[in-house]
Amino acid sequence: MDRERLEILPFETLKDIAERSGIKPIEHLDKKALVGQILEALEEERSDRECSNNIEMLVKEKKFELNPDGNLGYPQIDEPVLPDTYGETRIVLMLRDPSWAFAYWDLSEEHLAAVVSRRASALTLRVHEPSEAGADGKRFFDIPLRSGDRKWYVNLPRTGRRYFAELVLSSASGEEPLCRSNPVESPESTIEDLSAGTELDYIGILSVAGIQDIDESIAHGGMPQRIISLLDTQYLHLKG
Amino acid sequence: MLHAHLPYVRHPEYPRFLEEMWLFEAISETYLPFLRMCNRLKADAVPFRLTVSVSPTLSAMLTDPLLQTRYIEHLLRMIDLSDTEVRRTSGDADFEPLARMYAQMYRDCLHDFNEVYKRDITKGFRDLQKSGHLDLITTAATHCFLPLYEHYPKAIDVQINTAILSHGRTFGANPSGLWLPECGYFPGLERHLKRNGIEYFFTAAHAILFSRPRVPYGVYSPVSCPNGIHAFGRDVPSSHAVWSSEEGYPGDVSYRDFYRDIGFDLPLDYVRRWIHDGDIRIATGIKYYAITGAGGRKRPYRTDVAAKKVGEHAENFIYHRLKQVGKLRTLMDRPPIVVCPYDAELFGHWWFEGPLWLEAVLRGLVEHRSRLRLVTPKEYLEMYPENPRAVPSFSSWGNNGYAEVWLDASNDWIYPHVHKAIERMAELVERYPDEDGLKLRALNQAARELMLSQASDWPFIMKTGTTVPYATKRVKEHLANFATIYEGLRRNAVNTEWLTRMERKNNLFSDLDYRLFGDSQRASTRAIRVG
Repeated sequence: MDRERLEILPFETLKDIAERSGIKPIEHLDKKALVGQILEALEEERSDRECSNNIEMLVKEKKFELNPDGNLGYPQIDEPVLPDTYGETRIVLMLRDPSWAFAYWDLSEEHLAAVVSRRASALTLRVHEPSEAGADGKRFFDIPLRSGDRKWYVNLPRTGRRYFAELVLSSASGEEPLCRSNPVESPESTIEDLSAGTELDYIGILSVAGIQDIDESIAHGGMPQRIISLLDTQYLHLKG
Repeated sequence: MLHAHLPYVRHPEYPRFLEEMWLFEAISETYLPFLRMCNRLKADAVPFRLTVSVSPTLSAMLTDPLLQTRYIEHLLRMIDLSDTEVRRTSGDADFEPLARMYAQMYRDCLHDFNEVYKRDITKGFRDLQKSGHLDLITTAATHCFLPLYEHYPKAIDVQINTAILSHGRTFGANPSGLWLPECGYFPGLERHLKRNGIEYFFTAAHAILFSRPRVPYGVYSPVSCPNGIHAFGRDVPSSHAVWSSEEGYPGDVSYRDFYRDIGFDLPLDYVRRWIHDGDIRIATGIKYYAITGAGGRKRPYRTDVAAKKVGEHAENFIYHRLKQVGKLRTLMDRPPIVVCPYDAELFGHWWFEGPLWLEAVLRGLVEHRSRLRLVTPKEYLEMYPENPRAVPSFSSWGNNGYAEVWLDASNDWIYPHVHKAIERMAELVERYPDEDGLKLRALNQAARELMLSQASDWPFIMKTGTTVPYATKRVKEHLANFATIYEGLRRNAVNTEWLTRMERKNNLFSDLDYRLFGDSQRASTRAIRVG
């Protein structure tokens, strides 16, 4: 571990590392104690990561791991700065999984000024779920934004549906949609038509594929996400 | 099948660069042992067929003279270190044999690399393809996680087209299949694959299990997508037997412990000489301990004990596959195919004994040939060209099965910038539909920088936290380089000297045609047939 390396660093640098690792700097800690706190925080962080990563990701990680705390060795200088804005009003919606989408947007100078000059709740992220039946019967929900917000993780209420997002500016004179995103379609995360009447051969095949307790689940009607969880969480931790 | 991939890491601006070690370790611990294994089997006339995907960025690095030279320098350092270790452990019954093993291992690598492959190990893969043992395929050009670019179809086309051209140039034949990076699939992706001549691809298990409609054989037959090309879904139980450290083989107590490396175990003063930056401890690859199990001290590694385990685990794997296939034969009206894809670097780098296990499995399968044999997806499709039709589901083999690894609070900042760069690239194509000279070079380099910023490895590293500052810097630098060229072209002022430096540094994909990022007719007529 990097206790040695931490111990030779100046105290100010250690305080900086502690801050970056999320430790609240405690002024009266001596160097040794601070090093101990940093090591603990790093260990916790590593353990959290291992809990959330499946084995494919954990093993893949190993090909990039030259040092368990690779982040420590890097100077923070010389990194190019990317622009905060491209000065163009647009919104993009990205599908993350059946229940979540990620929206990011940008505003032109004019629109940004309009947003800032109004009260705090002027900007809204409107998520549409156009009905399949036709143009009538629009469905949407609103997420109020602050003027500084530029992205949002949107919880999608239903799977197997199309969604798109709009940025809407509200003012005394009414609502003005500023831009509209591309559509995304949330996938069904279920095995189609799995019911009590499913042929035994298919249930047998699923069992060979690693999905064991099907009968129980059929009784409860459907298996959203359970399959992935079952396959994923069977072997969760790598020995460290 | 094995998927070999590393992101493009090449830093001529420094005499040595830490992250170049990823390549050197993989060559020594995975790729060379794999080639040695294949050649041993070939020499013993053991029949085998494996599908191997070699990513375009990996083959670009393997064929790069600078990195080839640096690998040799690395080997010489490792030989020096292991010789020093032999002296240090002299007389120690536990450790001296191991030190000697490493000294020999690095010498073998040097011999293979220099004498056998003349510094270009892609030749080893080509030869095994010629002899009919390996079916070589490829993956997206810079291993881009394609679902997050669903709404940028041109960017996807460039990733696929560039990959195929690069593969054809390196391996002498067009690939029939494609490994989707991280098994990242979205419905409709197959259209991009088909127009580039791909016949099949691989997916996560639930791509097939959640397909619409449901398919009768689950993952045990390929699925025909609406446009006719085929998806092969992964079999999870066979994968997990090999990946898992808890329940699977690699965690066995007699196998070598990945974490107990002399770079961390021995005094800094001693190892400092071989460690990249004298002060940061890094893994050297020389490890002396067995996993041993929880609690108490680790036992020294014993190659004979580990070898015995390898034999047992190989038998166990074959036994379970036979059982699996036997059961499936009673449930299916045709022979099932069990798809077992692995990251190549699992074998040898993470699981030291992996290559020996794989060899034992391939040898062991011979006697069971009537019931179970190795086949490539292409061969299976030749036997069974008609397959259940369905639309596979959006999916990946990342945590929780979709895109969350690559789209997360740690890395979501990337996409607004990369997407914007793709739009700007299209704008450049429109403005400069048919350039030559300096402008052509600038436009192609812009395309290169953009593609390098799209590597899924960067958001992966940010999410899993290994070398976040490096990954962050890489994304930002490529985007900044792109922006420099974009702004320069708009002002009609591209700095030649700077451009030349960038071309020399990020020098892959010599065939890259910037026009593929736009709607230019000229780009779409480019042949992708390789003679």
